[in-house]
Amino acid sequence: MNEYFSFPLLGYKLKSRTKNFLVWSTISLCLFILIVVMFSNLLSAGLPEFISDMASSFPGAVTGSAEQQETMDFRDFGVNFGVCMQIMLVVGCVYASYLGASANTNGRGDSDVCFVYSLPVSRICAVLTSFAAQLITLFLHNIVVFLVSTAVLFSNNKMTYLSKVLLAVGAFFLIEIIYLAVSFLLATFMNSGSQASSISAVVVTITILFGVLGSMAKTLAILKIFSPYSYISVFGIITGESRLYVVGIAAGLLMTVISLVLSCSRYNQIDLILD
Amino acid sequence: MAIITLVKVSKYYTKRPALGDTSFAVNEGDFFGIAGPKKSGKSTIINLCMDFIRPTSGNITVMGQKSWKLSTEKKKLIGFMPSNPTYCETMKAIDVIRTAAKIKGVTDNEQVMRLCKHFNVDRNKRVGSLPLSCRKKIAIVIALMGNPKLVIMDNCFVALDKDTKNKLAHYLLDLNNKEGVTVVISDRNIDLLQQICTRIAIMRKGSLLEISEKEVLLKSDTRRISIKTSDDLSALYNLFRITEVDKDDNGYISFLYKKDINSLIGALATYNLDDLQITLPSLGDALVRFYERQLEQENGGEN
Repeated sequence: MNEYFSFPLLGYKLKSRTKNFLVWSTISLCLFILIVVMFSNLLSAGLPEFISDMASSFPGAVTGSAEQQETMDFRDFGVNFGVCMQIMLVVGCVYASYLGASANTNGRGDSDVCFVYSLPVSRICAVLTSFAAQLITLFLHNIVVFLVSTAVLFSNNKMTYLSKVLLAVGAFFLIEIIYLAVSFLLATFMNSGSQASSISAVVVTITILFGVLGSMAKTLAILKIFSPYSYISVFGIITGESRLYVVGIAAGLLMTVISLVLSCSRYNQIDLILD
Repeated sequence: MAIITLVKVSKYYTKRPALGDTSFAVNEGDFFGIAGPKKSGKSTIINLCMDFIRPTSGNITVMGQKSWKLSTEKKKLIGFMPSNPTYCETMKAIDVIRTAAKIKGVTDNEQVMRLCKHFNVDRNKRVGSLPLSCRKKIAIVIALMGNPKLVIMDNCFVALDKDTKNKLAHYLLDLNNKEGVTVVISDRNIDLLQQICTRIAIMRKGSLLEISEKEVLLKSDTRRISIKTSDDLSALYNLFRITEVDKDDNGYISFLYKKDINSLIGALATYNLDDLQITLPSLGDALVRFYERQLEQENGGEN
């Protein structure tokens, strides 16, 4: 078992993520509630028409990259909620990316590599167990998002959206796995554990920017495959159009497996970051 | 039989080597010390043996296997203490130790508790609240638990209090003498290594200067002279061309002296001395001589 996976090491890695998980989940929760409350207040202040006009003034490329309709009626709860979930997808991708990039730290940026790799486990075991711990943490984060979403639906008497939210959060997880794996691979090129935050920010920013560029110019349409919104239209799922691009997600999961294999191969060869 | 072998091992991060072309062997049952100042390559050697980093060239064998192909069964026989141990900050010390024990397959809980008690580990405190000295105690317990055949400790005594240093030194000596455990330690405190190691490697700027039995290192006609006096000794220093003089808090002036001892004693007789001690030089003094010889060779080469 120690050749490829270690349960005691998994427990250790999960515990080292606890503080970090609580912080991120709290931030996600607060952000979600803030966005929902903001829209609700705008609704009662009579500003949905103003917002619709403002949204329609955005370049089509920006709204198109987020797979949103050009004209949105913010008086509709589904539209409000759909936009909130779009934002939560980005938050989830940032967290997934950070988890991937910081896999070999003890949660604060300090490397506990000497402890982990001096134990009688192979490098591949340490890498795979580390990845599994990050995956579980990410899954738990999505559980929190789902529970908060359910609470929002319940408080607005909109429990009919529950199945759509479940589909959306499930799709979040599948997209976030791709970010986790890619950042996990990029971390093998890091010189220091403190670069994890930078990597996560850069990865998410670039993928979303590529999506915008891909929408702006037809010749650059291929860049849209880098955007998380090209795999899942969260807005479409919530409002009932159910746009989940299965082929895209399958391709993304294949990319995940390739990233993981390359990560294992890299970790078997490189010098470990010791500080 | 050699338990660790380095053959023409070098490690480059930049153009300047962190470790130059180095070859040596640590035999089974050795109490091996690696001495040297900061950036001399001590930790590099240990990190290479533990397969945290890979050599740029050369081969390293540990327990008969290549260091990067060491099996998990062989790794269970190695106890390792890093220079700056870091662990999950939210876990208690005892939980970290238990995790390590599970992974290492250590079932003797009593031994683990005995080690924790012996080294005064703050078992129930969270790692995040512990200073380096306490985290090192956790690392000591993890390294010594089970029945290791090889114990490797990087910057062994750094940040430890005097009591823990003594306990650790005695424990390692017992392991080495009674159970034949091979011990490899590195530290900047050469005089402490001198007291416990049987063989010592001296490192400087990534180069291995010499490996020797500690008695051989100390064989020389040099003596350390320690004098306590209120008289001005400047004339004595000029007469015997003594340039490096140390003063300690107890009022003793000391220097290394290599020439005819009778001349010195004759000259000292003219002074009013409170105390005079003539002793063998410490390993630290031997190291200074090695560096001086190395520097002379380098300067000779440049000329």
